[in-house]
Amino acid sequence: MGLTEEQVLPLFQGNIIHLAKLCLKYIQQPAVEARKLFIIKKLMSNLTLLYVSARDRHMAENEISLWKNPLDSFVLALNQQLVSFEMASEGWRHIIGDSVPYSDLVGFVSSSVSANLLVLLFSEILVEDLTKMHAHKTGISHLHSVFHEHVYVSAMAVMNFNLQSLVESTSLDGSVEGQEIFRCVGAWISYTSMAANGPQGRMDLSETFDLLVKLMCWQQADTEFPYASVIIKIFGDVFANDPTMVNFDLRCHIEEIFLGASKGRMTTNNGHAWMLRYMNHLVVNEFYEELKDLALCVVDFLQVGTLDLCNKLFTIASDADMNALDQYIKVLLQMTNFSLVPVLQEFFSVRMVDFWLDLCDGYNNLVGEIIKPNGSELAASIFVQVVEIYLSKMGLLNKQKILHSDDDKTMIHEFDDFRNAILDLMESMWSVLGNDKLTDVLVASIGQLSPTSTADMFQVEAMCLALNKLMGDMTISECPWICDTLGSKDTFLHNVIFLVQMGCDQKTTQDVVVQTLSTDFVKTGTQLLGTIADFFCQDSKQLGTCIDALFRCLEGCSNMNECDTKVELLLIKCITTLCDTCRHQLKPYLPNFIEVQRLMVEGKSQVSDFTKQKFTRSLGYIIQCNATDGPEVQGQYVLQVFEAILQGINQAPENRDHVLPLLICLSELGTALITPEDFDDETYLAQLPKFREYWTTDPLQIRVKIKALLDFTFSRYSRDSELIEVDCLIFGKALELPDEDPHFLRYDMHEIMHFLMTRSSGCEPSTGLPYIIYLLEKVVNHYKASLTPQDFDFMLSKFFLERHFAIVMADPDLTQLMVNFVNSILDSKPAIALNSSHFSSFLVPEFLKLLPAKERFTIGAVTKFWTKLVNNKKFSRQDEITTRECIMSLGPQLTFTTISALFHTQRSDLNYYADVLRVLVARYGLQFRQWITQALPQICDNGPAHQLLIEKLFVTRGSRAAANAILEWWLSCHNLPQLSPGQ
Amino acid sequence: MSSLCLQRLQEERKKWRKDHPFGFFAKPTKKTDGSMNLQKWEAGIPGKDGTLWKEGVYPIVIEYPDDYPSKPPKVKFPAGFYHPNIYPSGTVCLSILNEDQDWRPAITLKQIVLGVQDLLDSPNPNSPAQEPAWRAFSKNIKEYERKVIEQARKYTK
Repeated sequence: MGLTEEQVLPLFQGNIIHLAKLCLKYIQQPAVEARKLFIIKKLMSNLTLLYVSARDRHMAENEISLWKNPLDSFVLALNQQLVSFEMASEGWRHIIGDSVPYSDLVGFVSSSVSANLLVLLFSEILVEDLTKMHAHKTGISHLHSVFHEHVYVSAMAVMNFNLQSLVESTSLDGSVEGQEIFRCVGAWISYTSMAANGPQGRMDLSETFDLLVKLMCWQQADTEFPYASVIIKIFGDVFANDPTMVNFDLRCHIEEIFLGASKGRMTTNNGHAWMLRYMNHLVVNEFYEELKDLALCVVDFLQVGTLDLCNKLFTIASDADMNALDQYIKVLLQMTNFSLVPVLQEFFSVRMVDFWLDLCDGYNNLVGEIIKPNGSELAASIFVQVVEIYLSKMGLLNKQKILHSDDDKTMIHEFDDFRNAILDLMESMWSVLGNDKLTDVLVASIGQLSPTSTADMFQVEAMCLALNKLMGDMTISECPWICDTLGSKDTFLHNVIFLVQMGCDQKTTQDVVVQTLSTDFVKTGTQLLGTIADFFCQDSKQLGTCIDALFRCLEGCSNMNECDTKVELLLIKCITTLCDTCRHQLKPYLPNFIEVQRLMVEGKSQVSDFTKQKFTRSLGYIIQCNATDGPEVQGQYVLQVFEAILQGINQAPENRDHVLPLLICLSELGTALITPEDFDDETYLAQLPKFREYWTTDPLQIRVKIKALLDFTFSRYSRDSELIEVDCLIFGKALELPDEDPHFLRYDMHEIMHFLMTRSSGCEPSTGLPYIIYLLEKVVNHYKASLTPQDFDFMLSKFFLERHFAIVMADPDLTQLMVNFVNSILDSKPAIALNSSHFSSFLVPEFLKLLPAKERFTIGAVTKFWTKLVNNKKFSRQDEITTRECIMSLGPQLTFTTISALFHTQRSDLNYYADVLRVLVARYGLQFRQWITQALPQICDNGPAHQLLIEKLFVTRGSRAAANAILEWWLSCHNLPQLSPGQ
Repeated sequence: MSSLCLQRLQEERKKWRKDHPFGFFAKPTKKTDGSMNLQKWEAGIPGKDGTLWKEGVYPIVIEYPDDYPSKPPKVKFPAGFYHPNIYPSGTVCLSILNEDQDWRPAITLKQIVLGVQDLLDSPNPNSPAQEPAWRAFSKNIKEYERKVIEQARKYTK
């Protein structure tokens, strides 16, 4: 704050006089003067600030530095009716330094309600402001010990006196003063918690907490709990943030009140009757917010002792009374199973998830040797009950109730979060219960149900959701016993499929609640089917039923509303997963798949484009592995799919939004027909040469037909970049595959180049050319062995230098595209670029001009070009000679241009240019010293920095440390400071 | 891992379990022996309602260095994630995750995931991390939107 000792004293005097004046008026006429309370509060805040200044360690000792207790000063000022400077002229030392005895303090606060309120208010403001200051101001910890020694004593006296008065009163006190006591207590709890780490130790609030517990349980009649909710909130904050503030004995007492049971011993149920009455009062009167606060408080309290409970329950180190523990667990389970709707009405079950998770983690972390002989059975018996409770709590029946009662989505989100938290708990409990007590039981329970109603399906859904979580962590193909369990009862899969079907049947309703729950049914069911897809590879007898059901469900989707669209998406994702995983097992269904796909791509089909594309990919997976019947059969299937797509396009070729997704379908088919790396079907491998031969000759002319289709669509949509992108994807599909892999889209280089040139000449360069060039790069990479410098010249001319030259040079993105293309050649086969006719006539001079570019990606590309040209591991001996000649003649100009561009660029782009300088130092050390010595003075006048840079560059010899030297030079030349550490 | 790092990560886990934004998930991964790996978390970022991203919950991996919280965690989407400020490797380019920029040790997991969620629909074209999404966002917004929606379907909620 920067106040001097001379400034603090008069400010203190002025403030306290003004405060005393206002307070005295307020005490006399509280109702009239109430509006001045905000000024009183501000003056109290000012006094707090002055107090902090006065206690500053660095302040010289004077009258104000003796000020230890603002609360006492305040009481003294009011007692003396201090309303002018003269009145205190002889007594300032007394007001600043004297203490107020307990009897006087209590006498003052008892003198009037207003006086009491003002003292409580000042006490609250003092600690609140100090708490705020603590976060921002360093070096005030010494103040806490003075505070502890003086203010704490006065404040506790006032607070506890007030609390005791409430305990002893015979009537309900709902006054402003009554509320102020609890605000003051809350502020002191926050302050003592924050200041706990000082050398003076923690300020003890035990007496206050004792009184709070008494007041919490204070009850006038059976139905009145005047202080319970506010005190439970206070204790809730304490247990959430700093539970050890409450001493052990009081915690034991609170445990008895909350639970009527104790971890370690049988209890007398002291106070628990009150708790039961209070809960009943909240439930009967539907005070759900207060019930939530109680749940938060109780569970936070329980979590303080989770590890202790874990040790007592499960380890040999404990000699706790097992009957008491049984009783304790029983109460906790009852609390978890609180008989109201979670989230909507009760939060005990919601918050207890965390408690059980902690207990479960605690058990899982125990070392085997210290677990009691019956520890694992005990743990299993507890967690089995927890599973049962939560399977019921997480059911969509509760979500339905929430949906019916609340338009706001918040509670739904909270409920969904609750379900997710339960799933995490299930995952953790699996470590205790294992498959036999959890996974197998869930599978069996799903199979045992004969659902006839929505309520039954809620149960199935909850169990499927839990099972999906557990199965997601397993590799089913490596767990034969899980497959046995899943396959042991047909009704299991039947019910899962039924869940999906029921969701799909119900989604057509207009009722938003039903729509939401239907989507959940489909989501849970399809996700489980996808998760257990590997099971169908082991046991496929129900795969057909499953796929048929999914198809029927998909047939009913028409994207008529958000729910319908979502359901369709879930179904197609499930189908795709099943097809990908079970491609062998689904071969017999291929004709059905082809028929479904044909219907999907028809113009009148209502399924989404995404579904059409994913389904075509799914179908492609099955065609891919259909090798047993030889390539001819595969060719026929591919032809059928293609013809369906062609037919679909021909139904509305003028509709671009219809044509584009169908072309993407074709691309998806191409992707699906890429043989997976781990594909080890022996029949297929044996027939590989036949497949290769077949697709080379392509007797059904599929490639020709596809090309004709693409040419046709291009003729209509030549400037549509999205169509060009898909065309390029289709044409380049096989380019990333090894030559020996057969593929129906394996076009030869000549065909692809012809395709690219046609597209290039007709496209809108700024949007279409990038896709064309990506494919051109793939061509270069694939055919690099046979490419010649003349081919490179041809490509560069056709795609960049002829038709599009002006726009390529004007548009930094296209310029960068061109540079990247050249870089890709330098990366794969540099000789074809170095020996091309464009190398010295265009690339070198133009790319030199591009070095001072402003756009980051261009800078990145062009500096990479020069770096690759100076130093390239792919260079042959001849390439080295060619580039050496080039760099030797170009060196001074390259060095000057690079340094000039570096000098003018922004700091974040320095490293790009630094890379060029580093390779020049490393490869052309002798010459580079001369080049840079000549170049630097032309850039700016900073001789010492230039000299230092040259020295550092040569010391670092092109290592990464050179970049630091360049940065230092750049900063020095721009008169910018070094901000890096250690500089 | 330092004790400070461990303590802070335990605190983060506790805080997250007690209070996290709806629709998000985050939890430590498991080591091969089944124990919890507090230095590597898996999390999901839901797209904000009313945006192109709304249909998806996007998976991220959060890796905390040994000197966390002095140093920020590394946040990664799956490789190839389509967004102008996500590197091809999936690493997120966000100032609060950059030690040299806005990282502060007090930044919590909740703030990080909310920051990443904000980034999804508010890309910063001045800090490009990948070319395809950046180029489309800058020059062909229609294509950008189409690809974002397609990606959202891939990661559907």
